[in-house]
Amino acid sequence: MRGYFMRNQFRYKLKQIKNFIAFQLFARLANVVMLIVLAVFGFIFYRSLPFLTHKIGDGDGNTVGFSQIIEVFTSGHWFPNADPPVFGMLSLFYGSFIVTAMAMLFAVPIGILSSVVLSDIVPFRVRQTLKPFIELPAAIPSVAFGFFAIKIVAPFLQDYFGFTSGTNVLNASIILAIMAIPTIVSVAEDATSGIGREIREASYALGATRAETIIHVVFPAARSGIAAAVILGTMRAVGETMVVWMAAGNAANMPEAWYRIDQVIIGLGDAVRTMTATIAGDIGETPADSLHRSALFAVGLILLLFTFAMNLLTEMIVNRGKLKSDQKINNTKNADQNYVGNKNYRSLIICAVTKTFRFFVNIFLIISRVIIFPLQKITRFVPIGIISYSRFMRSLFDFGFTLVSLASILILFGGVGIVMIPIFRAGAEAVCFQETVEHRLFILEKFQRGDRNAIKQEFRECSESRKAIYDKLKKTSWLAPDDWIAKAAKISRETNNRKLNRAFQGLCNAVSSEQLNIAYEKIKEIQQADKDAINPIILLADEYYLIASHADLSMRDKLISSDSDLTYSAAFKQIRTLITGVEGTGCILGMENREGNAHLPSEVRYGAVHWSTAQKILDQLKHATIWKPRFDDKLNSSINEKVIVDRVSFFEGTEVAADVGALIDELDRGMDKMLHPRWTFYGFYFFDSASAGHYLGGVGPELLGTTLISLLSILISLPLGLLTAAYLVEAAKDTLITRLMRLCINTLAGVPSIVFGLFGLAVIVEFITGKPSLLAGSITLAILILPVVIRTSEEAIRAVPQAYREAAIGLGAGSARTFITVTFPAALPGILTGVILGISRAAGETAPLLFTCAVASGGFVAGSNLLFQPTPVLSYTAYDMAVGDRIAAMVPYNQFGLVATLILFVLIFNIAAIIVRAKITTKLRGA
Amino acid sequence: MLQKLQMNNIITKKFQQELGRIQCSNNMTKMIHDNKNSSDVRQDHPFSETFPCPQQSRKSIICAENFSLWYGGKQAVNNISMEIETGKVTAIIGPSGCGKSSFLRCINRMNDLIPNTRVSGRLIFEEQNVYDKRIDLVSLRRRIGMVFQRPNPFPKTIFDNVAYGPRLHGIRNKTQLNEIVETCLKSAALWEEVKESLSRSALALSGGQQQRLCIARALATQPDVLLMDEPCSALDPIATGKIEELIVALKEKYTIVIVTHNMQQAARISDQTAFFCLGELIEFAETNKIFTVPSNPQTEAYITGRFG
Repeated sequence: MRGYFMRNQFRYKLKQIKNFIAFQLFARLANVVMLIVLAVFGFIFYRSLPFLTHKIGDGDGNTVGFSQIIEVFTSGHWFPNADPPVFGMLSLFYGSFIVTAMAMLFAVPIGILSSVVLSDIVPFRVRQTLKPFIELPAAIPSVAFGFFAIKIVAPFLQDYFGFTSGTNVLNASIILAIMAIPTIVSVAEDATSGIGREIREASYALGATRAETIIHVVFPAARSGIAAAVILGTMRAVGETMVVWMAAGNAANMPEAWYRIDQVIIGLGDAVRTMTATIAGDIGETPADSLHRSALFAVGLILLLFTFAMNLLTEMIVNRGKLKSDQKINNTKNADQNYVGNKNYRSLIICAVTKTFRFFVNIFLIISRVIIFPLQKITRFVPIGIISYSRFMRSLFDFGFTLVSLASILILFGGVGIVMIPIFRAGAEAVCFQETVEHRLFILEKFQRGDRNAIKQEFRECSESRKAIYDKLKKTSWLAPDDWIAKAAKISRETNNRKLNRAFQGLCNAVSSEQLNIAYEKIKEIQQADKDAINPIILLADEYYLIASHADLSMRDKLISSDSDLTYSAAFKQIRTLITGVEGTGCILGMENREGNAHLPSEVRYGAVHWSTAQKILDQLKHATIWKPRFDDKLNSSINEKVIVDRVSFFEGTEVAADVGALIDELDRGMDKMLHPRWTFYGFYFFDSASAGHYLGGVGPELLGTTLISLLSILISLPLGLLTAAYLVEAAKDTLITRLMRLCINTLAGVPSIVFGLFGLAVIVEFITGKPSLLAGSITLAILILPVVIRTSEEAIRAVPQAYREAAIGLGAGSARTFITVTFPAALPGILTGVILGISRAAGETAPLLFTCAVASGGFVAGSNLLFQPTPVLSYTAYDMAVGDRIAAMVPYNQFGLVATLILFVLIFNIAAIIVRAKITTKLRGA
Repeated sequence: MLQKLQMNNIITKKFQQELGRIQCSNNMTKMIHDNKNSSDVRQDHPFSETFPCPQQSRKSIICAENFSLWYGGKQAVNNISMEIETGKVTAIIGPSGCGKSSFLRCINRMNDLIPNTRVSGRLIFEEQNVYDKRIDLVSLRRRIGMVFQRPNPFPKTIFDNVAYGPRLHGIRNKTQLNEIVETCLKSAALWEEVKESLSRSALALSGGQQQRLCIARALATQPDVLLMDEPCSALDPIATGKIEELIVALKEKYTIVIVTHNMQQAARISDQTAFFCLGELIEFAETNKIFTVPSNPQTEAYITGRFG
């Protein structure tokens, strides 16, 4: 009996210890989050210290004594590479400010009006359906928006609004507005719905119209939530990197008279550079320990402090609203006093911390009041002034307000639709298109897929019908004989016969028949002197002589018409390029002789792989675009005008006109025979690697990289996030520590992603992995998605009914066991939502990967040291293709296809999360 | 107990004083009526019909004829015909979910805010069908005020709460507004308690004060009818007592329809009582009669506590 009891006692003790350990473990792990935030602040501060403590030199190496910080805030000149470097950040601040302010100008009214549409105008059921779809665009990766800005908005602004450059403030702010609206709507709608029905009914019962109720009752009651929504939207816009980097033009400009509104408005068409874009753009070019890099860390520090301040402000505003409605202001004060008074438990230091905290709280309380006050005043007086006593005017106002609100939600959906539709329409062509024989050949040669014999046979057939084209090209090739020269140069490299090569060059460069004859004689002489076996160059020379001897060689350098600077030679070269291709441009047919030329870039080796591309190039071949100068009377100067002309007309009245005309004509008529277009579904697009510059092939390596990096980052952040959430819900009391922890989590959620990139560079890349790698990228992203995981997990764990826990504890389970066996399984679906959202967030981020992981091109990551290799990812490659090389611009479907793949990847995860969430809700309701 | 009685006495005295003052400031009523530039509930329409109440009586102001209400497929009010007399307090009692609140909310068409509601029959207010398409809801609701179950002041100052209605209806003059606010707060027996702090947030008031503020707010638009949807259910007995006294006092000027769960309350303050059960009107008569000699056995069962 005694033994039993003793054992029980022991087991009880053991259980207590186990619980204690579990609790401590939770608490310590949860503290890791705080450590991470401290580390982010600390390292970025540490790395910016050299800059902050630097003294400006006078050019001779003597320090003048002024601190660098003064220059930062007084100068608008950002010339980090000048000597001595100038680090005035005013223009960067101005860039961030103007882009954000303009974006908010669009986004705030639309966002708030849309939120009242959801909460007050449409029926509840419609609202329930619409809400997730409004939140969905917030998940679309910013690089996709940037891509849209650069590829579609910029040309549009240039063509229709006459901006000299389409990447400017206006472009960036429109796109930022579209991105910020979902955030604003989501938060503001929570606030406007959250104020409840009763207060609305009171207003309606007094005879208020809907517009009056919304303006006089809903807005004032929800003002703290709306203010929070606006701040969150602002933070999203300020912290955004990719869009502003791609769309704002990226030049550190600011108007001289930035305080004059007209100058600012004129400046909207100019390029600016924001703080985030500066970090993203400059850091790759800076040596590790340079002052410049340190300055960039200082920019990051400013962003970080700004985020922190904004976060604190939001917290104050939201809490103030909550406290006021619950009339709990006094309670919290008391709690605080208790807390300070209880000195047995808390040390004096913590008291001091509390007091400092309280001090900052008060400061922000004042600021929040300053922000809210005008809101209150505006909503109180403006509309009453508008509405006269007349009943008719009131209904008219009501009707107008409803209409404007509905229009705003349409704009919201329209904006997202305008972004998504072109991307998906153009992107679909990467997968589903009319492929030519060239594509089949490429797939066969690169991936060994397809029926070898059939394709070879088909290609032979095509080559037969192409022969006439190549022959015609050869016949007129004396106009621009550089391909002959290139061929001879290649042979001479192989045979090492420089002399002959030089002679052949002379032959090709001859511009009259006399010169031609002399050069030909010379070659013959060399041949006889050499007495070698017949050199291939000699054969080439014979062939060329045959073609050129009948031609008017002097035509080559003549201009095609009096008012252009295009020679006949150049005009012909354009035609040949469009048909057979050179490096860096697309062509219809590709090169004639492909044997032994496997090393050539795919854009030269293969012709058009898409039938649509072939047609587009054919159109370019038929119609040339030239810039013709025209004298403008109004401007009193000559301006260049774009004119589209028939390309054959270049050669009008010359001996080759007939040949060129026939060439284009034949290509026009026989192109389908030469390319054999056929509809196909290229499903392997998602798995194939691409040729250099993504000219051909798929997005396999990028998709793999994105998948790996998102999975790895969720693997890292899930345990940490889950335990933190568990601690916050199950074990933590409402103390200063937990409050600080929450503040840290919120701060982490609001930190601009580029700052995470800086942190990843400063800590993980430089200290742990040594170079950009998959692991470094994953850790960086893990920190970035940590708040998402914590928040959703916390929500899920909190949603588990208290009764479950009580039942388990009542049966004698300890708190740890209760959590593991009861609470956790019940919360699992909700946690799963968090996991899915985390993955999608990680997949869409670009900025943190810029310096930690991504490479623009490269094959699949593989091998045993997989984690320590850099990898291409969808998001970064999308950026690179948008701004980078010309080859990618030749294949818009591949660019758009990549972006569409990225969006799909992210949206699939998000929609999955919505479905899981909906399932949970129905389950909780007991349906 | 004694203390409570004394308190009640004090309050009653105070209230009578207030009433006296109210009589004095009757010019305010005139002011508001001047501002009602379209005092007709219905907008002018050449083909507008009028519906005199069938059973005669100039006295009745609201009159339901075979009135039914559905929430989606569920019928909440079933074929009700009753007349509510001018200047009387009419109580509607009945078990939970019997449709009394739903019926009340139909009178000023608050149910329009709930999707999927459907009505049939007629509900006549001053010879006009409330559910007529041509009815102007804003004017209708101005003339039929409402007080809700839970106090729902706006998150504004006390002054702004009361001035909300008049401001909407076009009164901008500061002195006029001051006068209205004062009168209404006096009518609602709240003036003495808040006159020093009109610019304080209404949310800082106690529950009973908030409810009286809501009544003052409803009075500020000069309604003819005041609908009260269980106005005391969220209040303690003392606050309830004050509101009840207020209702009795307000009877002089307003027609009051009150929904209540509390049968003593109905017995104390109402002139007529309607007993609803399962969406149907079981009995409607003088309050005295209902509580002493109910004609329907169901009513008797309910008021004696054997059912409901």
